[in-house]
Formats: sequence, C-alpha cells, structure tokens
Amino acid sequence: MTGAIVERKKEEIATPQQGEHVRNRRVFVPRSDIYESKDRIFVLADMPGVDEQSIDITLEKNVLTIQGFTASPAVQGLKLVHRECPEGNYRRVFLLSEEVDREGIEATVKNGVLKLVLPKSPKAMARKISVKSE
Amino acid sequence: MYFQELASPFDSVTQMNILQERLNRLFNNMNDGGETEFPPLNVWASEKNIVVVAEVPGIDPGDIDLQICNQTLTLKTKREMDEPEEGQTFHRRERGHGQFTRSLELPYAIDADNVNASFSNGILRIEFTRAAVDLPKKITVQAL
Repeated sequence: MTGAIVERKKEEIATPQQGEHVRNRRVFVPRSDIYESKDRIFVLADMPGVDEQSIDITLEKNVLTIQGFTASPAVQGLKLVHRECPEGNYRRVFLLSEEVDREGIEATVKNGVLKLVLPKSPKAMARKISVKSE
Repeated sequence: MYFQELASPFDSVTQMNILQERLNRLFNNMNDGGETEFPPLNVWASEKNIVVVAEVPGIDPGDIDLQICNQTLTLKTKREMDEPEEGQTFHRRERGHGQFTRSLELPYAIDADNVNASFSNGILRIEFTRAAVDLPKKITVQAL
C-alpha cells in the first residue's frame, strides 16, 4: 500500500465518568475541530456512518453530550479480511461556558460530519467591561 | 556464587536490559495501534466478491477519484477545511485535511465493468466481482 499520510486511529472513550456502558459495542471519541468567531462557536465532529436520525444531542445544565449510533457494517456471506475501521458508536461530552446561548444551538450533519453552531449570548457579550487606561 | 550474582535480576545491567525491553514494547505497541493511513479501510472478501469500505467523513462524493488498474485499486481524494472567518481562533484541530491517496492490491483480477461504488454519510463502499476468466475451473478426471 502506498500513500504516506498517516492519521490517528479512532480513539476509544477512556474515562467512563458517567458509569460504564452496558451495550456490547465499542464507543469512540469523534475527532473534532473547535473554533470561535466573534459571535459564535463552531464544533465539527467526524462521525462516519451517522445520519440525522442516528444522532442524539442532549444538553443538561452545562453538559453538552453528542452521541452517534452506527449500523453494523457486516457484509452478508463475506469474510472480513482486513480491518482498520472498527465498528462502534460515538460519544463526546463538552462543557459549555456561561456565554453560550442555549436556545440558539444549531446542529447539522453532512457527509458524516456533525456541525454544531453555538451562538454566544448577547447578555454575555454585553457584560464585558472595557478597561481604560488613565 | 559469583556467577549467580551476575545473573540476578538486581544486577544493574540486567535491570537496564529489562527496562529497555519494556520501553521498546511500549513504543512498539503505541505504533501498532495508534495510527492508520487515511482513509481507513475495511475489506470483506469471498471467492467471488470483494467489498471495500472506507471511512471518508467530510468528503464530497464528487471529490473521490477511484481507479482500478489490473488488480490495484487507487483511491484519491481531498478534504477541504472551512474557510476561516476574520478574527477566528482555533481551540481544537484534530481533523486532518488535504489530499489523500491510497492504493490497495486486490487478491484476484476483477471484472472492471461490474464495479459498484456508493457513498452515504461519509462511508464509501465499493463492490467488486471476480472476473469470469479468473474463476477457478474444475476439471473432471475420467476413469479409463
């Protein structure tokens, strides 16, 4: 095989802070980009095999949990001879700060990438106090 | 007595070797399971069919270039980043981007006119069937 580009493998979830999983499937942390503009925060997460029906996003207090459930990719009648993408679900937990406007969170999924747009609340933006030098 | 002492696990040289071996194992294991080429592939096969599944999240199906030459499948694709807005700052950048190429040698000749490639939710699935000329033929032995 050629091609020199090497990426990190899917990482399995390491700390079961909210208890352990009872299902017999592995859970991976989706690779994510997080960036911030003046008035919004963007979160992009790679979740191949997940569509809008199989994504579950919950916001409880300041804990934002994204979960993606994938279908088993097994092919009937054939044998798996080479495996680099193990099957499993996705889960990642983010802690939101006060400045996010919870009502305005938008989520879209396209080509297996989840995009979350978290608008900053106008209150938080207005609360900033500028300091002048004397 | 002297020789025994030399071979004891408390000997500094032996200890050093043990430590080295453990470290080597640690690094080897890290390399083993930590990285993969992009895109990662799963391959299913039988005597007559091959199914290759690649995880390519965030890639437009139009950007996927698939070629088959003899028994080698080459997958070329690119992933683009969102254009950064003005005044944007990054907090995490774990997703790779750029151009990717990957080749895979198939176990037998396939029928190039009968390839089925589909794409959904960031997963590319390519189905091949074995070329009729390449199928093993059974030869019956006649008793004289």
